[in-house]
Amino acid sequence: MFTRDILLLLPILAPILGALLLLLNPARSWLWPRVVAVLAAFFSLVALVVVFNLRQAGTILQLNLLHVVDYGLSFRPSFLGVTLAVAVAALWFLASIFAVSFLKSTHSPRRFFASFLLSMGGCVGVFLANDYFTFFVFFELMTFAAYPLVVHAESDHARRAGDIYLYMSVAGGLVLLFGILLLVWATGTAEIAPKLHVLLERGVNPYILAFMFLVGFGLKMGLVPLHIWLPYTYVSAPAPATAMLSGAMNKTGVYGLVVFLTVTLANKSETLAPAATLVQENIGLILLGLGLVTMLMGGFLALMQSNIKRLLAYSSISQMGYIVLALASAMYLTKEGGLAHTAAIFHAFNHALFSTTLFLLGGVIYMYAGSLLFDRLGGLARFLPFTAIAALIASLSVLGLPGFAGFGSKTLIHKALVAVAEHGDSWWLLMTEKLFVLGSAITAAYFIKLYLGIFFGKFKGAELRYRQEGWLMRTVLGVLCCGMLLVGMFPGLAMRFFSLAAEGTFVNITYLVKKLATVDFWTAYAYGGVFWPFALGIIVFVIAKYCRFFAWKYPKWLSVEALVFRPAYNFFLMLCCLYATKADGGICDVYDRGGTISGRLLRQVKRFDDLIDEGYEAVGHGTSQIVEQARQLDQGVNKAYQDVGGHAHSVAHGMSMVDTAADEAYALVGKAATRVPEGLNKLEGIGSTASTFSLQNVTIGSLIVAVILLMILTIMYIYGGQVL
Amino acid sequence: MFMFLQTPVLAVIIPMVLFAVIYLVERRSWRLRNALAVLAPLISFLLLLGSYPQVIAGERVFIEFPAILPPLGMSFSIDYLSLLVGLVVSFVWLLVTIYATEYMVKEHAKNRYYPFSTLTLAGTMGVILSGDLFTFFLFFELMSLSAYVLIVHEETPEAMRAGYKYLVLTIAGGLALFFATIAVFEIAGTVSFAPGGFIAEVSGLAIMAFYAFLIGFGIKAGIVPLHVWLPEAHPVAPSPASALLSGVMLKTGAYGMIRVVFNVFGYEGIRGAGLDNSMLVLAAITIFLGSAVAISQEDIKRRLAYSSVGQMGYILLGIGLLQERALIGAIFHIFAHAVMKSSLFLAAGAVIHKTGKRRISEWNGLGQEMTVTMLVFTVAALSMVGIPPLVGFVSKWELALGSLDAGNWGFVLLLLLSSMMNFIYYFPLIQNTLFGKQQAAEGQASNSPELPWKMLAPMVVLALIIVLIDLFPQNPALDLAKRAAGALFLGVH
Repeated sequence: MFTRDILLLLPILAPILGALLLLLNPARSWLWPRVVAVLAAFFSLVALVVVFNLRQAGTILQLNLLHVVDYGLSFRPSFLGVTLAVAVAALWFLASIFAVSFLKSTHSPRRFFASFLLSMGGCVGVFLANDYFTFFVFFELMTFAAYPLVVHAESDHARRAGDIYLYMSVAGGLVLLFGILLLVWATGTAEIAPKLHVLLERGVNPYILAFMFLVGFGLKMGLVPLHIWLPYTYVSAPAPATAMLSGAMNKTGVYGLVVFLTVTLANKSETLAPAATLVQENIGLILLGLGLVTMLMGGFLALMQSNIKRLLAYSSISQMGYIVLALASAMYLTKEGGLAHTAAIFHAFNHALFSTTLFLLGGVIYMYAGSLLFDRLGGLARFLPFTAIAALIASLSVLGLPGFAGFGSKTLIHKALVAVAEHGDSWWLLMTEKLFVLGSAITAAYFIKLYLGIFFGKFKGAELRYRQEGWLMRTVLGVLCCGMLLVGMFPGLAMRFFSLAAEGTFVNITYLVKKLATVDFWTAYAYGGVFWPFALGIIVFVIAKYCRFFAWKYPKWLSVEALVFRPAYNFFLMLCCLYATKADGGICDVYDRGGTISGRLLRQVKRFDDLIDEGYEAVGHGTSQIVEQARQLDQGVNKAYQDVGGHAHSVAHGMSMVDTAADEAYALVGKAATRVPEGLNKLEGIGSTASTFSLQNVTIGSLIVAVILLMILTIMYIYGGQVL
Repeated sequence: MFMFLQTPVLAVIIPMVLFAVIYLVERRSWRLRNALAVLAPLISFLLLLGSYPQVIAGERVFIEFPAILPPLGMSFSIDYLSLLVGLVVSFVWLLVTIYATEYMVKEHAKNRYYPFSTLTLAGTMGVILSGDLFTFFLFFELMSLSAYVLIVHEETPEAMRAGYKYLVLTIAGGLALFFATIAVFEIAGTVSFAPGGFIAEVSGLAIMAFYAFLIGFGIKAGIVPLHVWLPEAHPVAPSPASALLSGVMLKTGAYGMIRVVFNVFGYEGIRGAGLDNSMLVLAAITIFLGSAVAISQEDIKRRLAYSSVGQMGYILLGIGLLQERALIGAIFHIFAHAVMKSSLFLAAGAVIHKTGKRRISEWNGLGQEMTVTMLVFTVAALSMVGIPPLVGFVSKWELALGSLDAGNWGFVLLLLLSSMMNFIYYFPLIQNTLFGKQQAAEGQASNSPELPWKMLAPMVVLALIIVLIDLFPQNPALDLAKRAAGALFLGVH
C-alpha cells in the first residue's frame, strides 16, 4: 500500500503538520514555535532533496489521490517543479532560521510561524502538482496562509495592505479557476500536458484561456497592471515573510506561467501546426509588450522610492518583467526558443536567490537602524560591514555583473531578444533589445541609489540599536551569498542544468542542445552586454540625482490603482450595494405596496359589505315597522271584531230578552187566556167581578217588550226599506 | 400493521410522537424535555443511517398507505436523494438541538420552543421521505406552520411582523402547491413520484402546474422575487432556529423542485417545453441579488440571511441547467450549504449569546475572546467563498462544469462573481475579528472557557466536516450526490 510514491506527500505534509501542531498546542513557550518551524522546513527540504535525487536517477514518482476534493489530487514532480521546490524549500529553511533571530520578541509567534509553515506547504505543493487542479488547491492555500504574514504588524497600514493583497489575490484566483474550468471542460482533464491542438479542435479560444491564466499567475508575479498589491504587501510583512513572498511564493506564478505557456500551449498535431504556431507567436508578441512595460515601469517606480522595501518591491516587479521577456521570446521563437526558455527559468532561480537575500538584508537594516527610509539611513557600512558586503554581492547579482548570479541569465535574455529581433525583422522588435538595455540601466541606477543611500554618507537616523548582526543572521546571509557567487562563477553549468527543463515543452530539444554548445559567457561580447547598461546606469543615476528625480512624487491620481482599480472597485461596490440593494428594496416595496393595496381593497370590500349590511338593516327596520303596523292593524281589526262581537252579543242579548219577553208575553197571554174562561165563569158567576179586570194587570214588562218589538220592527222596516 | 414499522415511516412518526411526549413531560422535568428533544433527530438520523446499506445497494424503499385519505393515499420512500438530504437534515438538527439546549437557557418560553422544534423536524422529515406529492404537501404545510412558532419566538414587534410576513407568503405558497398537486392529479391520475417523471405530455395545465410549483417552492427556498420573508424572518428567530431555517428548511424547497423536475415532469419534458429557462433566469437574479445585497447589511444575521438567498440561487441554477454535473453540484450544495450556513449561524449566535453584539462593526477584536468560535466562522466563510479543500468549493466546481456542459459560460462568470462578493462580505468580518484591535477596555482576560461545550462542540463538528470531508478518499456526501444525480438522469432509482 505505502509505496515510495508516498514520499511526494512528505515535503508538503511536513510543514502543514508543523503548522497544525503549532495551532493546536496552546503552549506559550518562546522556543516551541521557532523549533517547530525550522525543523518542519528542514524535513521538507530533506524530503525534496530525496525526491530530486530519485528523479535525477530516473525514478519518477507519481501519487494519485483519486476523489480527494472531488476531482482528485495528483502529484508528479516535473524536473522544473522539483528543482524550484528544492530551491524554494532551501530558501524557506534559511528564512525560518533568520526569522528565529529576527522576530525575537514578536507578538503572536505561533500565528506567524504557523502561517509561515502553511504557506510553505502550499508553495511546495504547487511545484509538485501534476495537474492544474492540484496546482490551484495549493496555490490558494498558499495565498490564504500568507495573509497573516502580511498583517502581522496589525497596524492600519498592514491591514490595508492585507486587504489589497487578499482582495486582488482572490479575484486573480477566481479568474485562474475560470481558466482551469474551461481547460477541464474542453479537454476533459486538468493535467499539465500539450493541449493546444485539443483547444483548437474543440473551438475554444486559446487567447481567452491564456488571458485567464495570465491574470491568475501574473497577479502573483506582480505584472504591471496587476502589481499594485505587491509594494504594499512587501512593505508591511516582516522581513523573512517578505523574503519568502518575493523569493518563493512569487515563483509559483512564474512556474505556472512557464508551464502553461510552454507545456499546455504546446501542439501535438501535425495538421494544426501552422495555426498553433500563429497562436504561440501572437501570445509571444503580447507578452513581449507586457514584459517591457513591467520591466520599465517597475524600474522607474523603483527609482522614485524613498523606502528600501518599497524600492526592492518595485525592483522585484521589474525583474518579473525580465522573466516575462524571456518567456515571450521563447513563445515567439516557438521551436527555436529553447535558449529563451532556459533563460526565463535561470532568471527565476536567480531572482529567488537575490531577492530573498535583499529582503533579508532589509530586515537586518531595519532591525539595527530602526528605519527603512533613506532619510534616516546612511553610513551603515562602518557599523555593519558584513551586511554591506552581502548587499554588494546581492546588488551586483541583480545587475548581472560577471561573476555574480544574474550574469548568466541576463546574458541569455539579451541573446534571446537579439534572436527575436533577427527572427521578426521589424523595427519595434529591434527596439525591444534597446529597451532591454535601458531597463538594465535603470536597474543599475536604482541600485546605486540604494547602495549609496544606505551604506555611505552620514548616518541620519537615531542611535543604532545593536552593534552587530547576530551569528544566525550572518550564517544565513553567508550561505545565500555563497550561492549567488557559485551560480555567478559557473553560469554555463547552471545553464545546462536549467536547460533540462525544456523536456516536454514545445521547444525543439536537439536545436537547443546545439545552441547551448555555442553559448560562451566569458567573452568580451558578453561583458559588453552588461558593461554598457552599467555605464548607462551611472549616467541615469547622475542625471536623476541632478534633476531631483528621486524626490519627485508622482501625483496619486496617476497610479494604476487610482486610475483603474479604485474606480473598478467602486463601480463594483456601487453595482452591488446601491443598485442591488435598491432592487431588493424595490421588491420588498412591491410586496409592501401589494399588502397596502390589498388592505385598501379589503377595506373597500368591507365598506361594500357595510352597505349591504345597512341595506339589510334598513329593510329589517322597515319590515319590523310594517310588522308593527300590521300588528296594530291586527289589533284594530281584532278590536273591531271584538266590538262587533260585543254588539252582536248585545243584539243577541236584546233578542233573547225580546224572546224572553215575547215568551213571557205569550205565557201571560196564555195565562190570561186561561183566566178568560175563569173570568167568564166569574162573570157568569159574579157579574160584577168583571169590573176588577184593569189595564194594570197586563204588567209593565210585557208593555216594554211590545215597545221594543215595535222599535225593531220599525228599524227593520226602515233599513229594509232602504235596502229595498 | 407492520408496514408502520418501516424506516421512513418511523423516522417521521417518532418525532411526531415525541412532540406529544415532550409536551406532556416538559412541565415536570426540563432535563427530560431537553433529552427527548435531542433524541428525536438522533433517532431519525440513526434510522436513516440504518437504511444506508440497503439504499446504496440500489434498492428503493417504498411504502404505500392507499387507505389513508383516498383517492390520493399516503406513501413514503427512501432513495439516494432523500437519504442524503434526510441524513443531512437530521444530523444538522441534532447538532443544532444540542446547541439549543444551552443557548435557549437565556430565552423565555422554552416549553414552547422544544416541542415545536420537534414537530418541525417531523414535518421536514416527512417532506423528505414522502413518496408522492400529496404526502409531500401535507408535511410541507406541517413544517411551514410549526416553523412559524419558532420564528416568532421572541415575541417582539419585529418578530411578530416578520412572522406575519412569513405566514402570509407561506400560506400563499402552500396554496400554489395545493393547486399544482391537484392539477397534476387531474392530468396524470396519480401523484406518486416516479423515476423519470410521469407527465407524458406537457399541456397548458401542466405548465401552469409547473409555475405553481415554482412559486410554492420558490417562496420556501427564498428565490428572489419571492424571498422577502426570508431576510426578515431569519434574523428575528433565536439563533438555533435561524440555523435550522436557513440551513435545513430552505433546502426542502430545492428538494421539492428536484422532485418536480425529475420525478414528476421528467427533465426531457421540462427542456422540451422550455420551462428550464424560467428557472435559470430566476437563479441568475437570485445569485446576483442575494450576494450583492448581503454586502450592504449591517446586522450579522441579516447578512447571513441574504447570503442564503444567493446560495439557494446556486442550487436552483444546478437544477435548472438540466445537466448531470450541475445537478451533482446542486445536490451536493444542499449538503454543503446546510453545513456551512448552520455553522455560520451557530457562530453568530454564540457571539450574540455571549456579548449581545449583532452589528458587524461591533465585532472588532472578538477573535481574542472567542477564538474557536471565530475560527469556525472563518472556516465556514471561506468555504462559502469556495476556497479549495473546503466543501463549498466542490459544489462550485461541479456547478461551473455543469454550466459549461450546458454551453453557457455566463453562469460560470456569475458563480465566480458571486464568490468574489461572498468574499467581500465575509472577509471584513474575519479581518476585524481575528486581526483587529478590540475597542472595549481589555485586561479582563477571563480564564473561563469561551463557551459551554454544548455550544462549542456542534460548531466544531460542523467546521471539521467542512474542512475534512473532501480530504477523504471517498466523500460520502459527494458519493451519494453523484449516485442521486445519476439515478435521476437515467430515470431509474
